[in-house]
Amino acid sequence: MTEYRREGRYTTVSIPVTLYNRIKKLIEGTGFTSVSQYVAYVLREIVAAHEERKYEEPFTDEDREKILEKLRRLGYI
Amino acid sequence: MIPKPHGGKLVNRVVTGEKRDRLVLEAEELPVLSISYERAVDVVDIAHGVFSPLEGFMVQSDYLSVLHDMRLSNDLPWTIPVVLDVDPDEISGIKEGDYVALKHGETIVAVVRIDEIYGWDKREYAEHIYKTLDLRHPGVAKTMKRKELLVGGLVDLLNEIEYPVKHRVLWPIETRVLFREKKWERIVAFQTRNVPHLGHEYVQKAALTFADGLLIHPLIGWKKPGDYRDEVIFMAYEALIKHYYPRDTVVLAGLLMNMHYAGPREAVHHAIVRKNFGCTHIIIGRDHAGVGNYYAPYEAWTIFNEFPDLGITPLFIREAFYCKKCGGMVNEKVCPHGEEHRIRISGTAIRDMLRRGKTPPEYVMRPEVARAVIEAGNPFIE
Amino acid sequence: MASEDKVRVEVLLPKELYEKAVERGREAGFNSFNEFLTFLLEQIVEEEETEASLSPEDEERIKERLRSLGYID
Repeated sequence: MTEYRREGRYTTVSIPVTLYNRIKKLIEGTGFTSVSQYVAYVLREIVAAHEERKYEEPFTDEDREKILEKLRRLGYI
Repeated sequence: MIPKPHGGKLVNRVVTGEKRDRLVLEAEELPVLSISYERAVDVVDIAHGVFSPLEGFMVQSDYLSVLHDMRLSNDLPWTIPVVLDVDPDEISGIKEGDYVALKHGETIVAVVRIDEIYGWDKREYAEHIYKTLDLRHPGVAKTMKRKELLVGGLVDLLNEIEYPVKHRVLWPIETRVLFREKKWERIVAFQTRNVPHLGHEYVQKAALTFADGLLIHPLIGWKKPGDYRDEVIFMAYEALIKHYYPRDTVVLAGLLMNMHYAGPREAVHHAIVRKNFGCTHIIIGRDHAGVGNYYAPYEAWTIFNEFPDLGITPLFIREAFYCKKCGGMVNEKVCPHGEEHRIRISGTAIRDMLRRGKTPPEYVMRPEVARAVIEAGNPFIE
Repeated sequence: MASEDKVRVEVLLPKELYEKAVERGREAGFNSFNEFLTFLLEQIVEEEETEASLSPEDEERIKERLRSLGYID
């Protein structure tokens, strides 16, 4: 019924053919079914690792005090 | 290090103070959609950041992307759709951009801004999420009974709903503060809906050996007859922790969340949710969130290969059993002895014994735990 | 080699991932995304290939020794 359209959600990039062939050879017999899939995997890993580094907890000191109060009352600390 | 929430931001859609007073008044004038308890649970989870980065029910692009690619349309891993189903009649006259009140029982739980109204194919949903169309699968049966249209949109929580062991439920922001306060950096989550036997204890302690702390995180909320009552699960764990865990290594807290029996997809979902609670690791069973024979063995483990960017590490720990030769709890990986020396722990057998008020043998269940369950009176949902 | 490298093959990436990766490449000081992607992939493929670089003959020889020592059947 619903037709899932992939167009528009994807974009093409290009890599040198030699590199493409090396990747193709590398992923033979692994769970990866295409070079695109492998490239996406690598990029997701890189992007995620980087994003992990630039983050601070979203609560103010005041929030924190309130939560600690509740945790104390419940016996968690 | 405590991981950042999924997508980078801990969502908070709980409205308080003057804004709440104003919205409560406004909500009385809005069109009303009646929602089931399960949808109300979704609303509460969204609002408290359990489903970060979701700020509301999914719009179609996210829904389809999750269904087909196991990712939100912004490429973040997500495996179980969070969607609000409505009857065409209920929303006739309502258009995109309108606000409606979501009511469960007599309570207006939330206000939702309708961003999109769209159709869905429930069979397609079942095939992707449950890998079967078999109506004997509890998730499929439930899906087929859902309403014909979906609405996506931002949620503002006005009133909490009722649920068991309310005083034992912590939200992501609270566990995050707690873990920081305890100075834990490696935190393992354990998902459960059962009272603990020695197999569970073994698996938890195997993980705890290299972690700073363990979050024992029972799912509470909707249960089927024959399941342990939520209160009983807590009493049982409290007994176990008191007598068998070192001080300051365990946090026991409830998680109000729906159960889907979606096997591998739900295993990933459970991992994402625990990341939002600040856990760095999660124990995943071989048949995690499975039911019947709908999922292949180890499928709940291999699915994780598709997510290098999950941000929480699954721990694949094998099921434990008692080996007479080893003289203790072991698993396939560490015990060389044959099946004839092994006693496998059966949850059903334990349930039967406890129902009859009998204490299971000590190599199956700690006596303190059995006592807590038996003393609870009626430990099971009628 | 060099002339062959001018031949390029297209790969398909989810748009959102592409955009995040472009940002990452820019932060890392690359002039273009293609340059960043090629650099990244070459590094990783290099590593992976070294790991898998055992020739079939070498592998057979090592297995033979392991067999003779009783490590494998």
